[in-house]
Amino acid sequence: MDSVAVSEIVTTLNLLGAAIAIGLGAIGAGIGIGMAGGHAVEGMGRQPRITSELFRTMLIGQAAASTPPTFALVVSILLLFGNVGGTTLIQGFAALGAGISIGAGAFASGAGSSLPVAWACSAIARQPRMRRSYMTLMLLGQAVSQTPVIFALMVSFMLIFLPAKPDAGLVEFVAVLSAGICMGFGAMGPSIGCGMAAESAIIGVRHHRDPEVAVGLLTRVMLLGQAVAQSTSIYALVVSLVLIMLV
Amino acid sequence: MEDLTQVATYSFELFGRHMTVNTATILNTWLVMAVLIVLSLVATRRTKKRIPNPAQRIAEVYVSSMDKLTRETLETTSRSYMPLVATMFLFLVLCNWLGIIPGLAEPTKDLNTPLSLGIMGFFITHTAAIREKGIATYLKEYCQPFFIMAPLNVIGELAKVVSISFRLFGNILGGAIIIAVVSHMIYSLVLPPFLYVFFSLFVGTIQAFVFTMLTITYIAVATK
Amino acid sequence: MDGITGAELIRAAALLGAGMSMGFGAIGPGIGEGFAAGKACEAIGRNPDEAGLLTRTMLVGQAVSESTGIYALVVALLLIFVVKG
Repeated sequence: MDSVAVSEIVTTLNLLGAAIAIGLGAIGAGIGIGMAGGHAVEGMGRQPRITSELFRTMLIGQAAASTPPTFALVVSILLLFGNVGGTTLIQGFAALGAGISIGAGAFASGAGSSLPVAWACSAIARQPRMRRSYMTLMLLGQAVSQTPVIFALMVSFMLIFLPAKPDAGLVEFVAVLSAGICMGFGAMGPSIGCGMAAESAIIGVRHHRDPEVAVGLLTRVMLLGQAVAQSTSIYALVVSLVLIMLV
Repeated sequence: MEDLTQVATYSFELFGRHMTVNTATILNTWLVMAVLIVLSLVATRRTKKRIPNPAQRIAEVYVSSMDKLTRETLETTSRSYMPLVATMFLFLVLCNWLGIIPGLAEPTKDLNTPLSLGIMGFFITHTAAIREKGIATYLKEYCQPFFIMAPLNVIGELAKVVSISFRLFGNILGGAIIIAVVSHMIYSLVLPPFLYVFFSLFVGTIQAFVFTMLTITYIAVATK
Repeated sequence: MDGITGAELIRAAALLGAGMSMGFGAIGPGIGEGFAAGKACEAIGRNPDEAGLLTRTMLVGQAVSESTGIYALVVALLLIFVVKG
């Protein structure tokens, strides 16, 4: 370790964090958005008359589903060019933790929040007059299933802007890294789960014999189920905040 | 970034203990309370008149829809929790929207506000459960499926308070941090108003509704 | 980086374990609870008259599925606050 300066290690860790952030973060949304496009095209084949409406729904849903990778991109750019992190070793490990946090979080959240888009496109193709209700349900479900990635973004900003600690040792290095791992992977399950709940809420409305009545009821049940499904990501947030505070 | 972690505080000694009061949070909470009181006074003023004023009409729609929601969720309880639910939702919505006004901060951004509301919900839930079911049945439910699981069931109940309060706190603080960082990065050009609309108005309303719904649902599950 | 004591190593491993416990432990319950919520929504769509019963069953099922997440939380907090190395 004699020949490597601390600043070089910190730069390496920053670069690694930036790569993990956008590299992992883009996977889920890439797959999910493509599937949404596939369902939209299928719907257009079924109902060529409403092509423009399906196209609009698909674009809005895809734009909302690409919010998590956008967060990952912001963190990645901050780590690459931002010059915001410090130059001590602990800030390097914090940068790596920030990258893991938003990368893993955005991976799952991108996949989860594009699940409802696909089914909203299919449902609109079957019941075009319910377009507005399906779009509202889709956007609500997406917004709630992106809550874990907002937590992940919060944790990674806290890690990036971590103040320097002169007497930091191995324990502190591991603590900041562990905070990132905890929040990143903790956000994965809940965001996929919330996306599945939103998807099934749309399917539920479609199967209801009176869809216009069902929208209000199912929106409420969906929000409730998603809120409960998110609680594990909140425990992960608590643990990683504790880990950051310990440093 | 520093303004997020620095909260205006006032410290004093009481009974040999060091107490700290978050002045900004308390003042903002009082502001929300004042707005709510003024709104309800306006809405209930001169209710005897034949044609009610617009504020009263809006309030009636709100109260009746909240009453319907509470009835549908709580099918069997003997008491009405509608006043609690309606007040809590309005309070939380106004709290979450407050950050849109420059110079003011959301009281829910401070963990103390959601945590105290969560603890309040916890006590209401368990009081309701004991009142509906009797203390023996209530205690027996902690020994499900068998006696050894009792500590974990108690932890599960306490974890509900953590999850309900940290959900609100995390969403509002997360929004505030994102807005602060983005404004800092792009020198407050163009984008922050849209972020405020998304995080304060949209996410704030959803989270206020989720908090309220979860509180009644916890009561409904506990009293069932 | 010189002179890492055994106690430090244990503490560092405990903190890493805490993060991994809660992080990976949250994946299963999150997906499972979301699945339960989704199935409840579908069932309510098919049989709206039983909405109250289905919602309550969903919540009970989610609470049971969440218990593993709570175990992960307990283990993580124990690793942070009890293991001192």
